[in-house]
Amino acid sequence: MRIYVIAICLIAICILSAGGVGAQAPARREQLVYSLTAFDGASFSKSFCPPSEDTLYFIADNSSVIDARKTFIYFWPITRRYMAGFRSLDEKLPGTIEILKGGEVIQTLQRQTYTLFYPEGYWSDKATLYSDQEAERRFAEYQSAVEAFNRKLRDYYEEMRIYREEFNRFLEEMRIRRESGEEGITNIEMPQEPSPPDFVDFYASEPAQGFILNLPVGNYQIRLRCPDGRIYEGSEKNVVVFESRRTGGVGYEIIPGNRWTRRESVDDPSWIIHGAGHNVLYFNPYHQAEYNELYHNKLEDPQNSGRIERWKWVHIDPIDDVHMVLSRGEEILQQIERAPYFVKQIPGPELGYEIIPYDDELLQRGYQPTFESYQIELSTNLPPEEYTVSALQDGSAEHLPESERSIRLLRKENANYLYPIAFFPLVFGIVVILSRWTRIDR
Amino acid sequence: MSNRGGVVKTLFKRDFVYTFYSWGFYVVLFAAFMISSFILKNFLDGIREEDILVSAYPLNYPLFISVIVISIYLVMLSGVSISREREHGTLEVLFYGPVTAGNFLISKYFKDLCLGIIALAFCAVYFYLVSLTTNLGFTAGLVRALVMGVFMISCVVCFGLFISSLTGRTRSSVLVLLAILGGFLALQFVHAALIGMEREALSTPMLYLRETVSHLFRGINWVSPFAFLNRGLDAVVLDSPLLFGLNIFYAVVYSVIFLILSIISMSLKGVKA
Amino acid sequence: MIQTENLTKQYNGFTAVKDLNLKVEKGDIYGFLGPNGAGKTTTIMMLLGLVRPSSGKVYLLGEELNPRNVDVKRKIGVVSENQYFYREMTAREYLEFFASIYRVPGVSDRIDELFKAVGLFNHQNKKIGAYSKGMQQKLAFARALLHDPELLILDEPVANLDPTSIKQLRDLIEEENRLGRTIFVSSHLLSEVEKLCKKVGIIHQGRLLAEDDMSTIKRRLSDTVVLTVEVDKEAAPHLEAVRDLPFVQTVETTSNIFTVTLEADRDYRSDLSRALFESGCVILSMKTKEMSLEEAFMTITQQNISLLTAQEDKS
Repeated sequence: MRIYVIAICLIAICILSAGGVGAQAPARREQLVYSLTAFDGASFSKSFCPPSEDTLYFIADNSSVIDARKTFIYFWPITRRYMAGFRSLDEKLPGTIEILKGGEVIQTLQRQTYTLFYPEGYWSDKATLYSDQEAERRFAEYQSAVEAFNRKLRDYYEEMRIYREEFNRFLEEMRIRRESGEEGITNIEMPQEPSPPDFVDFYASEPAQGFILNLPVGNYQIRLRCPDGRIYEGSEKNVVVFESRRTGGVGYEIIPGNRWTRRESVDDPSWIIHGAGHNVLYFNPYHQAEYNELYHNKLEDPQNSGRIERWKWVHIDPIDDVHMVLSRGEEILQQIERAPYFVKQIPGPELGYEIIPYDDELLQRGYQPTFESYQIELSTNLPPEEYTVSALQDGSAEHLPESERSIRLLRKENANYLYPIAFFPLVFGIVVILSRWTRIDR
Repeated sequence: MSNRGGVVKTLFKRDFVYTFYSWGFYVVLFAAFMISSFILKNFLDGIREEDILVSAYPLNYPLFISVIVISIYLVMLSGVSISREREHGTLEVLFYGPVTAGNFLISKYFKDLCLGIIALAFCAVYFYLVSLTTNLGFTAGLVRALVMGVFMISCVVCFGLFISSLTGRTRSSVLVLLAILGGFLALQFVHAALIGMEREALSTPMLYLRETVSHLFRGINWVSPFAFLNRGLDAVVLDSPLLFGLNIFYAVVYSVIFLILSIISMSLKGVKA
Repeated sequence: MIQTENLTKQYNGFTAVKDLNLKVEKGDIYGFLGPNGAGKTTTIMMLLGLVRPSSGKVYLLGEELNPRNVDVKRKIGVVSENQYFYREMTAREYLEFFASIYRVPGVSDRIDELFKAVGLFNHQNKKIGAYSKGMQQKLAFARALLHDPELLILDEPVANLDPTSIKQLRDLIEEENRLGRTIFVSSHLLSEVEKLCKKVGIIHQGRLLAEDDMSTIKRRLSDTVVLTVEVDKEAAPHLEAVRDLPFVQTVETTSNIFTVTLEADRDYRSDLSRALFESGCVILSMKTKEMSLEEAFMTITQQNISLLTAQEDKS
C-alpha cells in the first residue's frame, strides 16, 4: 500500500513540476545581438547570434551581412535555444564594426544598403547579394517588374470580365438556337479565354541596412564601436572565415523507383551505389561544395551544433543542361536525357506510389509533372559487375569533373562464403609451421 | 654490403622468419578477417532485394578495422621487442658482438614493417577474394588505402619501438603501452563527449576542462600513431593526391623522429633489464 | 690485450668498481677472482662497452674502447655467466645466425668443427629450448669461439656444469690458449681459477686487491694447509707422532680422523704419510680442506685493507 502512496506522490510531484515549467514564462532580457544574413554556399541563411555564442562563421571571399541590434532574448528550454523578440524590440545600434586580426584593426565597416536578389524567383535557393546603388537598382527593377505585372494583372482581370460576359452571351445564344430546334455544328464563335500574366520570375528583397563582410580565410575578431568611440559591451566576437575543402564536383540525389519518399544522396565521389536485383533510379545532379560540418552548421545558425572532424556536402545548384550515361568500362550502355515524371498514387489495399513518365495524356488531363530527372534502369539482365554513371555536358563528350559514380550489382547470395575465406591465413600458418616442425629434431 | 648493412640484414632475417614460425601472426589475421567478414555479411544483408544502398567503399571500413587489429598486434610486438630481448638477455649477447643500438633498432623496425606489409598483402588477397565472391569492389581506393596502410604501420611500429626502448621488462612495456593507448582512447572519448555538449549545459570548470581536453586532443593527434592511421585513411577517401602525399610525408617524419628517439633511449638505457 | 686505467663505476652513490687497473697480456689465461657482488660482471660489462664507466679508461687489443667501434668487438668472444638464447632456434640455426653477424667464412665447416669440439654434434638440429643447462653452456662456448676471436672473455664459465663437462671445457679453454688466444676468466671459484690460470687478479668490493702469478697469490692467500686424514685405527694414541713433526702447527683427533694444520711453504703430504705409516697407521684417505674463497678473501682483504689504509695515510 505504502508503495502506491509513494508512487502517486512521485507522479503528482512530476506533474506539478512539469506544470510549473510550462507555466513559467522564460525570462527576457535586453541584449545586443548580431543578426546574420550569411552566404551558405548556395543561398543566404538568416539567423542571429545570441550572447552565449562567441564565434561567428562565414564563407571566405563571399559577401555576408551582419547587423548589430538591440532586442529581447530569452532561452527556450524545450529547444534549448535562445529566441529573439524582434517584434517587441528591434533597435539598430549606431556605430561602426571593426574587424581585427592579430589584435589590430584591419577593416572598419559602415552600414550599407543591400538587397538579396533571387534571379529564379522568391522560392528558389539561388540568391545574390547586391549593395548600395546596385541594390537600389535591382530592387527598382523588381518593383517595376511587379508594377508591370500588376498592370498586366489588372488588364487580365478586365479581359476575364469581358471574356465571361462574352462566354455567357455565347451560352445564351447556344441555348436559344438549340431551343429553336437547330442541330449540328453552329457557326457561333466561341470566345477565347485570356491567359493570366506570368508572375515576376525574379525577386529582390526590400533594401535594408547592414554591415557587409567579405573576408579571406582566417580567424578574426569583430566589435561594434559607438559613435562616441566606446566599444559596445558584449559586441566582441570571434570570426572564423573558412572555405570549402572540395568544390567543383557533382553530387546526385537519387529517387529509388520503389520508394520515392525516401531518397538517397550520392554526394561524395567515393560513395558507391550498391544494387541488388532490379532497380529503377532517378538521378538529380547538383553542383556542390564540401564544408566543415561544424563551421557550416554554425554559419547557418550560430546555435547549431556540429562536429569539427566531419564534413558535409552542400548542393549549390541543380544541373539540368546535361545528359547522363551508364557505362561499363569504356562501353556506353545507356545515354539518358532529362525527362519529366509523374508520381501516381496506387489506390486500393496496396497503397503506394508509382513513378511513370509524364506524357501528353497526363498533360491533357491537366496534371503537371511531379519532377524532372534522369532515369537509369538496372535490369536483372546486367551481369553483376561494376558500372559507372556520369554526367556529360550537352554537346560534349567530356564528363563533368567529379561526376562519375560507381554502381555495383552485388552477388548477395554468396554472402555466406565470407566466413570460410577468413580462414585462409590459418591454413597458410599451418603449412608454414608444419614445414618447420619437419626440420627440427625432437 | 657494408658491415652494418650485413648485421641489420641478419638480425632482420632472424626476427622476421621466426615470427612466421609462431601462431600469433596467423591468429591475428584470422581474427581481423573474421571481423571483416562479419561486417561485410551485415552490409550485404542490409541491402534488400530490388533495392540500393549507398555507401563509401564498403571494403574500406573492414580494411580499416583489419589495419587497426594488425596495428594493435604490431604495436604490441614492437612494444615488447626490445624489452623482451633485454629481459631474456639475448640483447646483451648480441651487443657482445658487432651490433649497435642503431642497427638493432633498424632491423627491428624493418622486421615489423615487413610483417605489416605481409599482413597487408594478406588483406589484399582476402579483399580480392571477397570482391570476387560478392562483387564488392576491389577499387583503386582500396589499393591506395593498402599503400597508405604501410606508412601508417610504420608510425605504429616506431611508436611501439620507442616505448620498448624505454622499458626493461616485457610486462612493463605492455602496461605502458596499454596505459598510453588507453589514455589516448579515453581522451578521445572525453573530447567527443565534451564537444558534443552544448556550451549552455556546461559549467565554467567544465568549459575549462573542455578547452584543456581540446588542446590535449590536438596534441595527441600528432603523437598517437592511430591518429595518423585515421588521417591517412581519410586522405584515401578524399581522393586527394596532395593530402595522400602529405600524410605519407607526415608518417615518414613521425617514423624517423621516433626511430631516432628510440635509438637514443636504447643507448642510454643499455642492454640490461 | 686488456688494460684498464683507474676504471670506476658508480651507481647512484654506490661504487661497484673503484680505480681498477688491470693488465692482461697477449697469450695469458687471466683469472679474475672475486666473491659474488665484488664487481666482476660490472668490470666485464665495462670492458665490452655495455656499461659506461663513471671514470677511467679501457684499452682493448691496443685501442681505447669506443662502444661504437664494432671492429674490436669482432675480435672478442664472450661467454656470460647466465646463458641467453633464442630458444625457438635450433642450435645450428643459432650458430649460423651469429656466424652471419660476425661474417665468419666457411660457416658450415666451422660450425661442424665446433659442435664436435663441444660434443653437441648430434644435437645440433634440436631447439635450444630443449637443451639442458650444460648443453647451453657448451653452445655458448661454441658461439664465443665461432669467429676465431683473439680474446675470449669468460664470466663464470663452468657454473651449472657437471664434472665431465667441466673437464671437457677446461681442456677446450687450454687448447684455445695454446692456439694463441688470450683468455680472461672471471670466477668466484678459487679451485677453478687455480687449475686454469697463470695470472690472477682479485677483486673485492670493487677494488683490485691483488694481481700476480697464481703461485704467489696462493701463498699470499694463506700460509697454512689443513688436511683431514682417515686411518684404519683410533687416532688419539698416535697423536704424538704427528704433533712432533716440525711442519705441523696443530693437530686434532676425532675417532679415526686426524685434522692437521701444516705450513704451506711446500707440499708436506708425503712427509705426513710416512710419519703415520711409521707410527703403525694405514691411511684410508687424505683430503686437503681448501680454504673457501670467502675465507681467503677475508684473509687477503684484511691484509690489503691494512696496506691500503697505510698508503692512504701516507698520501
